[in-house]
Amino acid sequence: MKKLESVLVLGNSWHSLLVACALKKKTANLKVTLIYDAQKIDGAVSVKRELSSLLSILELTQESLLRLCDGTYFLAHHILDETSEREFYWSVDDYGVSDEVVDFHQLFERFLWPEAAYEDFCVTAQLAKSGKVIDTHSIVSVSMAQNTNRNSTGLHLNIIPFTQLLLRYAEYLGVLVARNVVVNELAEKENSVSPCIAHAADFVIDASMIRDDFWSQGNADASDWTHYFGDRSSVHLFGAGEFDSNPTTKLRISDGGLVNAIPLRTGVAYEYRGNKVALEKSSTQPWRMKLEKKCQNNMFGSLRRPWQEDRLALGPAAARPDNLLVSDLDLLMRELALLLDLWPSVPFQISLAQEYNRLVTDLYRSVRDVHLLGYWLMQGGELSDLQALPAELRAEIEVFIASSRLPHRDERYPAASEWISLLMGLKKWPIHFPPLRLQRAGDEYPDFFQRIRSKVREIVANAPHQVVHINGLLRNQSNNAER
Amino acid sequence: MSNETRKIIILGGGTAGWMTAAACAKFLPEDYQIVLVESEQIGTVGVGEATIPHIRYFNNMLGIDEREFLSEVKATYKLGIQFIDWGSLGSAYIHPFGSHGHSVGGIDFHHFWLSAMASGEALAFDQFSLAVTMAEKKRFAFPETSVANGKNTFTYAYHIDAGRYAQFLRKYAEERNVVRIEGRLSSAIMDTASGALSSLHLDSGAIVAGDFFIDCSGFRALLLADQLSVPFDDWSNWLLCDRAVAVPCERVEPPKPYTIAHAKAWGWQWRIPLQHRTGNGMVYSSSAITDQDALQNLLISLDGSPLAEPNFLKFTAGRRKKSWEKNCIAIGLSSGFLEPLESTSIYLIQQGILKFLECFPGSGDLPTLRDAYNQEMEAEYLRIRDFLILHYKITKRNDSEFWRYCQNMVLPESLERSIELFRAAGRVARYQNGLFMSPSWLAVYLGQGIDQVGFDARTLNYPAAIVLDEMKKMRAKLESQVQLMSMANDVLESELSSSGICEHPVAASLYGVV
Repeated sequence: MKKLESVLVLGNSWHSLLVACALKKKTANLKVTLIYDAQKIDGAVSVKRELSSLLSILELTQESLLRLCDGTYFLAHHILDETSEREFYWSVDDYGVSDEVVDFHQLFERFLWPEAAYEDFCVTAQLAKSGKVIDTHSIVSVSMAQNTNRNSTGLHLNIIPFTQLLLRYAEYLGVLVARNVVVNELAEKENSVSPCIAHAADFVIDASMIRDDFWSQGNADASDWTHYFGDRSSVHLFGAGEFDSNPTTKLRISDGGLVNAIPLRTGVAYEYRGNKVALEKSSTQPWRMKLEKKCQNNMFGSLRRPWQEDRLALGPAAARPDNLLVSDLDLLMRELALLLDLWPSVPFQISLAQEYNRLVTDLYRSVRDVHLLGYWLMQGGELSDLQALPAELRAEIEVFIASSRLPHRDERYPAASEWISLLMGLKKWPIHFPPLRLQRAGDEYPDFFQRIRSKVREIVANAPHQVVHINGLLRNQSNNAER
Repeated sequence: MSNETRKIIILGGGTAGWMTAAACAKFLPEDYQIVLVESEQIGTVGVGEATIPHIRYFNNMLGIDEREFLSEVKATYKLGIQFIDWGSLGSAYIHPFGSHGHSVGGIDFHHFWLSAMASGEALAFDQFSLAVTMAEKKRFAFPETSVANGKNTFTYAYHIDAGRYAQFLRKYAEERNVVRIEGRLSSAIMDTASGALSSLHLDSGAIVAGDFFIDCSGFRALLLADQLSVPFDDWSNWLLCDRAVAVPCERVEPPKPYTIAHAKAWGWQWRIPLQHRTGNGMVYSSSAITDQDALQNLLISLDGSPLAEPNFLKFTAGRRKKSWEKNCIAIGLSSGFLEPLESTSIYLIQQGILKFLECFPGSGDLPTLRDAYNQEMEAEYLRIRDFLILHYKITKRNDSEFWRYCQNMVLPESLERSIELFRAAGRVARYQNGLFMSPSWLAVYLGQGIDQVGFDARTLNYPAAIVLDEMKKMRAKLESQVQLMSMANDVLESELSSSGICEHPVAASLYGVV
């Protein structure tokens, strides 16, 4: 059987560039050709959970990536609900410390609510709130179990320099980048793919951004999730602005909709989500969207079998489970990890394709569901609204409310602890807790919590401010360059 | 069922009953009443003489000191299980509590090993495991969390006297106010409106009322099956063994730090070394051998003189379709039975208990919790079931009708898919929740010599000579590392004679302590 020696990647954005780089980097001797029909895409993208994998592919430090891509640090989502005055800093880190079998969120409800905020017990949430960052040259820890290290740090990146960086790196790695090639269709002949373009290959990966037809009407191979998300038109705008001191992605919830703001060093990338009527009203908002030019309808869904024979779809060509809480970049890195783990030796291995499809569709559903959970919570988390959610998510929420635990789910992403902190941070308390015996005397708990809080404060007090830290990095770089 | 669950009745002592009672005593509030009903007239199966590392996590949660435990239950250390004659007659491998080799360039070690095997030049796969090297040399050291010396790549469990463990936990539980009632179940009374259990009538005439019931009555599942009519899912078409006979014998040599599972023409034989004796048993299919012949075969292979009369057991592989029905949870054999080939009995008890505590309904009847509990326990059983069936399927043995059947049996779809994936590409089917992860599947696939296995062709980008050289160095490093360790029995003796609390790192994992 013919060995898999060449791959064709199709795309028009950073997604396809990153796929090509990852394949070239992780599969020596593979011929990788990228048909790159560059679209002008601006704005920002963030990476948090998969930052270390990204750095490993790019062979860069996080400081270098930040510097090269107009970046800022990303420690938490700052969720602010202007309608109910709820506010929460959502970090990937642990919140608090469990006490034997009793988890922190169970202790919190019992002892701390309403005097304390959930995020008071999370280092990165507090750093984010204070405009500070983790000094990457030190590893800090809170109490016995809570460890905060570089994995807790993410980055916001400007898409334009990030794309340029990936393009240069792809060429440096030996990816053959073919630009201005017109790709009509992939000719299909007897269930096998033979790209009709000049760059024939053993395997084709579609990582293009604009392929809405994948799950538009009548495509039996796609699941359309748009009805779960409702009418969520959006407007993207890159606005000039001051260097925001807080290392957060901001999510503002108002009557008119939702604004997502990603701060970069040279400006802020805004995205406004809502229905069209609300969007029109939003033109009066401070961020002054230019609706008429940039409004787009978002579609949500995924392919049921992203890998078919010798063709595979990745990124937005395969799934759109939304990207407000889990970024496109984090999701693509996760997809790439699965693909590389199952990388075929010959162009078509059905068992590998089946395994990949099984895992990746579970992953897509999980990312979809964490977004739907987020929207449900942001909209007030009314139990009467549960019926509109997918059955699995509905059951999970019910179990959480009934027991304060999340049931198991294969390929849960992000981690269960992040789902729980989102629920707790947006004040969806469980109604029932398992009546577990506390392993300390009741009067020991105030001291227990105080120690955690003090440690968090101490770390935050000693951490550098983001602005100072980044300016220092840039100055050092500049000095080194001069030398 | 009352709104407030305050009184919990556990039916049945033995390992499951007393583990449950001990955990409830430790973790439920003091004003909860825990009552355990058992009869001295009914023998216990005494499951789980061989354990897996999760028992250390359980003991640690209860605050049990390891040295006291070792002494009380006559435990020895266990680093894995040696499987003899499973892949083919004359073959042997160890499934360790640890991983094998290390990945290079993002490619898992076993692909390099398969690539080297294709050229016929590799040592056995298990020779690249620290735990296996320790087990074969009968040496032992405690795992460490540091990655510096590789001691984070393994962990350990125990061989225990399960009867003593139950007694040990009984003392623990009774000291924490668990009430033991001597008696046999005569009948159970149900609430006519809800169909839930309300009380147990004992043969003494006593009535034991409760809010929540835990069925630890063993194979018979007196509450879940007899009273609540939860049906049984029979898996005996895949796991043929339906009998066991056990006989302890005198110990004739220092205990080996591993369990032995020796395949026979009709099933398999276990050997479990304890401090004071060796546990032996034959697990077999009654359609392949008679009870008497099984016993004779067991007796002639004992290391030392028998210490007790043979104990015969009958069972059917499978599980109750629900572990939790109404206000009753079944834990242990009443919930399901999987033969002890991979020492999973106590693990399944432990999972049943921990999930029960997590889902415990403080008040009312919560169907969503029941469903979640049942789904998670079902996943545990199904995944272990598939892993056990794998041992019988991946074999070249055809020396008996038993093995010919196993070779040709139609598999559960989930396992069929896993084996296909491994054959095609050397990949292990992945899941996030379940006991046996990739290192265990690899140990069995490659230990039993599954044939026609594909591997990641990216390994071919590495020169074969360099790969082989690296593998030799890896093996040499393991040997020299183990050479510096003490004999397992000496470590055990030293621990038993030491005082003070010992604190070795613990994690709910088969493969390490991180």
